[in-house]
Amino acid sequence: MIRDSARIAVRAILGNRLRSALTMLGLIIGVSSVIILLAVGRGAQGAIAGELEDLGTNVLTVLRRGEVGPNQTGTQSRDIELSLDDVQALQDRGAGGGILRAVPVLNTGVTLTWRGATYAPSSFAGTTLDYLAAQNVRVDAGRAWDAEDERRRERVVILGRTVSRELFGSENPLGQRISVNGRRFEVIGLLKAQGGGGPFDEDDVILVPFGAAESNLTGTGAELGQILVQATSQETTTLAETTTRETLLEEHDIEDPGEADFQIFNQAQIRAVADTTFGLLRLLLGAVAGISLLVGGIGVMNIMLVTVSERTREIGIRKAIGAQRIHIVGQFLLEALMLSSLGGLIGVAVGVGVAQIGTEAFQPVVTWTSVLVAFGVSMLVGLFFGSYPANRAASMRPIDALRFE
Amino acid sequence: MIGAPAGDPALARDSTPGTDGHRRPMIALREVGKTFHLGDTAVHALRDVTLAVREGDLLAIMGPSGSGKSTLMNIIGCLDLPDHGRYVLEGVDVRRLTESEQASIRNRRIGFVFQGFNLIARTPALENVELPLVYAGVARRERRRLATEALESVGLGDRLDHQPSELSGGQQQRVAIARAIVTDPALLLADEPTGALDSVSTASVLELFSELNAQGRTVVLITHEEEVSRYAKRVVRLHDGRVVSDERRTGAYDVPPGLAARTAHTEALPA
Repeated sequence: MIRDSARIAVRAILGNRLRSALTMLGLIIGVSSVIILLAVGRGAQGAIAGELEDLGTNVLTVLRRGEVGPNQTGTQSRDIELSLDDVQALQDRGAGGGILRAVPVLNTGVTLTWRGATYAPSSFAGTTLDYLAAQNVRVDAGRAWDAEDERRRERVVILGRTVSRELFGSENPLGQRISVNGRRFEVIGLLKAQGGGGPFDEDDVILVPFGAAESNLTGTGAELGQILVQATSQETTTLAETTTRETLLEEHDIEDPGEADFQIFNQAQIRAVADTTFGLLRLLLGAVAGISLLVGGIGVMNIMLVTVSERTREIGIRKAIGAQRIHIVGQFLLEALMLSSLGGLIGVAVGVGVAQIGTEAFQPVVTWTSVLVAFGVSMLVGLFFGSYPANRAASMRPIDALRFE
Repeated sequence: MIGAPAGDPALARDSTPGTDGHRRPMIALREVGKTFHLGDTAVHALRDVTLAVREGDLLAIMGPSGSGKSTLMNIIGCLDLPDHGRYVLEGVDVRRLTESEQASIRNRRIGFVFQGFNLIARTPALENVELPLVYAGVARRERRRLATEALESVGLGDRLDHQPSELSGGQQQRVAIARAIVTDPALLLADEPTGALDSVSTASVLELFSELNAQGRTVVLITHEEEVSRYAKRVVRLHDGRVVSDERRTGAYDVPPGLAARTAHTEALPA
């Protein structure tokens, strides 16, 4: 019975190739856009998550509260700052407190010049070598400074790729002497490109040894812009955060944690926010794609209604020779289902194919779930939108159907 | 059957079925009426038609167009229900049947032959003939055998795989007849079966009906051609929805010799 219906359905579909193709087109577009949009959403999320991973999810950033949030009363805000003592105190807690290393970072605005070219990088860090490890970046051209350079406060810099490009264009910056706020520094290394781009360009950075920055740019005893605290592992991040909070409250003689003059940022928190954002984005993309599937389904219904009215006489004949209601319903449902599943299959192929095209920023990621869901929904759409025309066909009275010309 | 006209012994026997098995009326219509409404005007297609058809008969229902003969055939064929009156087919009151049971009766007890052949397009002859068996739930292999047999019996054993568009009118009507007899129905119902055929095809198709009747099938032909009625044993004429004449051409109660020996595939069909 099913085999017979299937053969009849195939014949009907092939008998109207153009119409069948156009009907399927709606579903092909629907299914492939579900797959593509979800893959793009997933890919973008993966790319952002990857960048956050590069930053290190076990790294905490400690900032003065005034740096970010609303400032305190103002009278005593200058009294207590993030200092090298704080760094030392954190370092002393060590692995017992979940802390692998604490890195002091001096921040200041700098302007670089070289042979008339001027550039102001968005990020300056006067820091120690540990910074590279904590930020999970490395020098892939030239060299990083060493402990001796640090001790002697050598005026050397490591540039991010963006800074290097802006200042030197295509020339080799290694060994060149540039002016940083009027002081001459030698370029000794370049950071490996991070990619990403956008407003948070991680390549738009210049690194200077802590001591050299202190004596040449910020002045000795300057407050720290931030302290990076790296936990011993991702699992101990929470412990490290607690330790950091306790230690700094103690160092700063603050009893009430609500009065803290610093803030601790956790990459995991940032990541959670990003995940939520992308979850919403995916939902939105999915909804848009779902609507196109719905439209495709209405196309199926439209064509099936046309088919039913075209084949009214055939339905009459079949009923006259004894077809039961279920035979007619089954016949047209099967036809709708065939159209929608074939359209769904082609849609899956197109969707998966298109999703292979990536950009340098990220690669779309096709998930099995999205393929199964898209295909399943297209089948359901066929069933749902096919059932009305099918029932309409089945409820025709044979005598009326036979009279139809 | 209270109030049955005294002059119709066949109808009177309906109330005592079984006393004379093969002679009870296959079709019994009593005061059947049907009215169609076209806008404000009511068209009385059938007015109180009373008719009984014996098993094994070859009946021609004649009349000009508009006389109600197609309406009568639709009612006899369970394609339509009367507005009033009673229709009993093989002892079953059709009005009491569900839609599904009516479909089942059309499938197993009645074979239809239409003026326009009504074959399914783009579908080979064999599959067209198999179709009623598909709906009857007959297994594939058996279906193929029965359909092939039916096509052979109408002389189209060499046209099994031809599509309707590749066959002549006469051949298409033979396919339609093969489809009508494939379930071995007791009643063959033909609506202007030769209306679209030339005289040579007409003759061969009518001979085929005679032959099928001789094998014991009850045949009812609806026609307006006198030529066709010459093959009938009994001719009923309709005019304006009423029976105006009813004559028997051959000897009354003449039971064809083939009645006792039905063709072999009776058992093959599920009851």
